[in-house]
Amino acid sequence: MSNKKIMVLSVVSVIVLVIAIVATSYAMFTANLSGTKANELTTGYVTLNCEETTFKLEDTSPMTDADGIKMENNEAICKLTSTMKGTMTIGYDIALDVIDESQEDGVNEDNVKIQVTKSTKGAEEQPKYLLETDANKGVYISSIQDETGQYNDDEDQGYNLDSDTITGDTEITYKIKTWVSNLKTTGADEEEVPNINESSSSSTCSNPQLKTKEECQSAGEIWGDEQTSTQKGGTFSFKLKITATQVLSDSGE
Amino acid sequence: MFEEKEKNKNRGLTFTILGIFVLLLTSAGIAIAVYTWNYTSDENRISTGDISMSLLESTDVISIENALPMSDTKGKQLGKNESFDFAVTTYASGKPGDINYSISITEDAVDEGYTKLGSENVKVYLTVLPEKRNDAYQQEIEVVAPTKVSEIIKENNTGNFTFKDEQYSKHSHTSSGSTITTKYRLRMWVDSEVDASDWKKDSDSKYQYKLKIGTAGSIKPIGVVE
Repeated sequence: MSNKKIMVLSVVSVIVLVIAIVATSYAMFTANLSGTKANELTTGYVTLNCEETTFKLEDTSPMTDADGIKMENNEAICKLTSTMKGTMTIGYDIALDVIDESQEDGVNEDNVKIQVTKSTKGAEEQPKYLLETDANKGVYISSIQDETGQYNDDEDQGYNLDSDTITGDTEITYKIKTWVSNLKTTGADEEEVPNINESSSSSTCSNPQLKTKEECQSAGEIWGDEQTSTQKGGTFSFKLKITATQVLSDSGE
Repeated sequence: MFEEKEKNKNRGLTFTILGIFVLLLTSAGIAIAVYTWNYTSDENRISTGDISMSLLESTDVISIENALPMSDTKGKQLGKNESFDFAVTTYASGKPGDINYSISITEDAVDEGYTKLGSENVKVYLTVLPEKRNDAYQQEIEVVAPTKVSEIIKENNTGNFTFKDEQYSKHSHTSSGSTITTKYRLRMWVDSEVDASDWKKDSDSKYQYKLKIGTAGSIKPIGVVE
C-alpha cells in the first residue's frame, strides 16, 4: 500500500469515527420539549389620505388681495387625514408645485398670490394663517422660494407651504386661495405693475377702421393721439405635493 | 507555522469587519424602508386674458381767448374749439367682467405772462357723445353737471370726476375679445359768479387756466362676493 492510500484511508477513518462519536453522543440522550406560552405579533396600520378640491378658473382678472380673498371657486383644498392602528409619528411636507406658467411677461409666480390656511380638527386656533398671510393679505408665490421642507430631499418638491408631524388619527385641512395680482411691491413704498406695457400712437381714430382725419371726424368719431396700457394675460397651474415619512425617535417608535 | 497563524488572524479580522459592515448596511436598509407616502393632487389652474385701456385725446383742444363769465346754460352749448373730445377704450381677450374707470382733471402750468385763474372760477361740464353722429335718437348725455373745478379737485385730492350715473364709468366685458369705447366731450368756461371787474389789459391782470384729463381703470372681477 502506498503512503498516499494509507493517508486517504486514515482521513476517511477519522471522519467516520467523528461522525460515529457524535451520533453516539446524541443517541445517548434525547428530549423534546414544547413551550406553552404563545408569543404573538399582529401588525397595525397607517393610512394617510388627502381629500382634495381643485379649481379651474378661466378669464379671471388681476385683482387686489381683498377681492382675491373674497372670490369664490379659487381655492385648492386638501383635507389630510391619518388613521392609525398602533403608534407612529409621521412627518410631512406639503408643497405647491408649479406645473405650467405662461411667458415671463404673463402670469407667473411673481404676480400670482396665495393665502394659505391650516385648520386642525379639535384645535383651538381656527384657522391658522401660514407663511406671511393673514385674513386680509396674500403673498406672492415667488416670495416663499426660500421655504424648505423638512421631510424630503426632492429639489423638485416645489414651494413648501408647511411641515408638520402627525400622530394617531388626525384631520388637518389646508386651503390655498389663489389669485392674480396686478401690483408688486418692490421697495418700502414703491409699487410697480410687472406685466403692463405702455404704448402710444399718434393720428388715430376712435374707430380704428377709419384711417383719415376727414373720414374719422365726418363719422362723428374722435381723431387724435392715443396712449394704451396693456396687461398681458396667461395661465398658471399648480399641484399640491405631500411627502410623508415615519419619524424614528429614541422613544422606540 | 507562525506566518500561517498570522494569516488566519488577519483573515478573521477581515471577516469580522465585513460582518459589521454588512450588519450596518442591513440596519440602514431597514431604516430607509420606514413608512413613506407621496401624494400629488390634481391640477389647479387660474388664467387671465389680455386687458388694455386706451385714452385717445382729440387734436382739437379747447382754446378760448377773451373768456368772460357766462351762465351754465351758455357754457353747456359751447361748440368746436371750445370743447375737448376724448375717448376711453378698453379691450379684454377674455371675459373679465367690469372694468371700472375714473376720469380725472389735473391742472397744468399757465403760459408766461399770465396769472393762474383760481380753480373755483372755472366750471367744467362732461358729456358722453352718441355712438354715431347721425343717430337722431342719440344726443349728448350729461354725465357730470356744470361743476367748479375746485370742487372736483378737492374730492379726495384725486381730481376725479364723480359720475352721475355709474354706467358711464364702467365697461362690462362679458364676451371674449370685446372692445368697448366711450367718447366724452369736456367743456369749460368762467363761472358766471366771478367778478371780472378787475381784469385789465396789462399783464398783471391777465388770467389763464389750463387743465389736462387723465383716466385710470381697475377691474371688478367676476366671482367676487361682497
